[in-house]
Amino acid sequence: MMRGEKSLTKRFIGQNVVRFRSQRSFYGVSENSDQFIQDLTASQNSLYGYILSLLPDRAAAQDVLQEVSVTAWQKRADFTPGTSFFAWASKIAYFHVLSYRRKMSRDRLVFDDEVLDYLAERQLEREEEVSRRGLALKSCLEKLPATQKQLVEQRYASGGSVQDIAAKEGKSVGAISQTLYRIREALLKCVEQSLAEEELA
Amino acid sequence: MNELLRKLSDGTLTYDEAKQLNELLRGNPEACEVYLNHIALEAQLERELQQPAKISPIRAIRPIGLMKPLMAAAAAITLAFFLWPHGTTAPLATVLLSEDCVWKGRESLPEGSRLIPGKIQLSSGTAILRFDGGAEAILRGETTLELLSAVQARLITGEVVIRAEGDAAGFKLLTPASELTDLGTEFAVKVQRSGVTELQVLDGQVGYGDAIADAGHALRFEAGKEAEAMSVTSPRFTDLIQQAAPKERRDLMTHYDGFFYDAGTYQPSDIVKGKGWAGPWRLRLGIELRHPNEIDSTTDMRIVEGGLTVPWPIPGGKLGGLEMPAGRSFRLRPMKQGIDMGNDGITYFSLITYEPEHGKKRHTTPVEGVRLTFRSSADYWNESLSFGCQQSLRPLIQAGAQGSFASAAAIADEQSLLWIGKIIRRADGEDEIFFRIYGQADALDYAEPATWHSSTRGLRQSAVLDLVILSSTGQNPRIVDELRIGPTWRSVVPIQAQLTKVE
Repeated sequence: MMRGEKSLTKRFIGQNVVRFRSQRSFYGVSENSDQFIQDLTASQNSLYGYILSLLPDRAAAQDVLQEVSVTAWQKRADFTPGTSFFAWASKIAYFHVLSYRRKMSRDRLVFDDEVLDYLAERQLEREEEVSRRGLALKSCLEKLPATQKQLVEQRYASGGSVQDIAAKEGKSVGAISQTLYRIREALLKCVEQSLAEEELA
Repeated sequence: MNELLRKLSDGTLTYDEAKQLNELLRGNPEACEVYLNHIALEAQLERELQQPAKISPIRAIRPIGLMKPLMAAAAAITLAFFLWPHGTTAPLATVLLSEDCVWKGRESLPEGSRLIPGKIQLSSGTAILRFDGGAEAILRGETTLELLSAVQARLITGEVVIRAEGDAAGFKLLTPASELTDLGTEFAVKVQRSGVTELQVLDGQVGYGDAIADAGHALRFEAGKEAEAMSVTSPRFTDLIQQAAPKERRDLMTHYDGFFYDAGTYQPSDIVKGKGWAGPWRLRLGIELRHPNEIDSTTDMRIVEGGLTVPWPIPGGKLGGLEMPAGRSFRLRPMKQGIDMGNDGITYFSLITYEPEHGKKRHTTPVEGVRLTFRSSADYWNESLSFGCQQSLRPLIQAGAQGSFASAAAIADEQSLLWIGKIIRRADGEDEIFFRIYGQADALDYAEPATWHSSTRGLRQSAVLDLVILSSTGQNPRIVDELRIGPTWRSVVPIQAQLTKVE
């Protein structure tokens, strides 16, 4: 059965070395839990991105991510090791997004079912690309001029709103918004370029 | 678009603008990519820059108490497992073949049954088992075998031939005379009522006591005597399968639709042939339509001839198959007798599809996907079992809201595919569902494979699934044919005359 993981152990019978296969059930539980926590932790960023794309509201997406992490842990026995963790967890996220949408008031509903389903499917297929984008972004952030980096940090690290930053900097909301927009454009361009170079390499 | 995304990032998108964004994205793959790239950046910036200051939720959970008790619980489970008495009741082997078998102490052991530790007593007939460790055993005639674990059994009386190659090597067979350890091989063992044990090594090597017997050697063990050499007389494992000559058992099929109609366009209500159905095919009705925009591209059903290249001995494709048009297509057929997930039993199904090309770069909507879904007429949107092949071409089992189980491996498109699923239903305990998609190059065997593409874990369902739904979405039409449902592998799977080893 594919469900049993194979591991070879050595055992001596008399003088002959005999191999036998241990069954996962004998070993696996705590190891699997550790592995599961690792997978879950490693997937947090991609899951957040997944949820945010379907529910483009940072606070809502963070709430849903929290719920998804707990549900994933409770349902961890359903996960088949060796299969894609993101694919599995994103399904849970999908249902949590649906249920969150049901609870949301009608005037906040952003995407209809067709768009939502399409985005959800595409996110699954983009899993690898998105993680490459994440890696590229790290080095792109390093290349950002100090003042721009500071602005991005104010906005994203401490969750400051554009209004807060404008007030603090003594600038107009429009100016901050425009600067942030340009920085994102530059970062996107840098990421695209890194990916293109990667493909050539 | 850029303006909308800027506002989205700033958190100043109004309701009307959100609707505008939705309209821009609908049916526009390019716009969706721009949007997804934007969101990916947004999410990554937030997570990347936040991490040093604010710990991600799961890490935050861990030290402050939620994870800890959970970890403790996991540790307790591990401990409990080790403390359980030797004989657990977890299944450890599968019945692959049961030909004219009469069992003592139980009515039957149908093919596909999962076996738990304990004795099985065959009075007559031929049975083949596969241990979860990979070893296979053929039992013939009066034989009592005690299943001890996935890698160990005890032969009490009778005759078995064991094949345990590759990863299955190391399988142990305990006999009154000796403990026999398979070292990557095939061997036959006979235990007489007196306890006299005969070992014949057909291939590879077998360890006994602290010695090794090589292929072509046979030994006779009798209590208090030296092992005596004898000649090898046992047939090989494959010869025994050939002798048993497992045949298709289409007679056992409970539900069937081969779409045997002349090519042409029909109303669903005209597609009435087949076996085991409570009515013709139909479109979804009322509450069965969850999303109003999931409207079928057509309301009729088109039967086509040809279009399937079928290497398996199935008449499908030659005498008509159902063409599911491009766009969205959902067709439903009620079963006379549903699959009762609340009762013990085993159900297999098979289905042939022709899978058109899934363009990876073509971000189209609706995305490519085809599914065979079982639902309950009593509670349509609750429990369900769905088998499919989505855009990613990874075989998928979806058990309603209870989770989905996707294969890690993808299959190739632009070919005919044979889907085979196995549903092990349990009144008490976990249901187990397995799914594998065979490509044109994959050989089929007389029994189920040792590995499936996808399998479920922790699933418990109790509904009676009495509706079959075929659904197809995508840019190209696809053909489906030969829907078979039955209680055994051989009742739904075509078997080639030339038998090969079960991979």
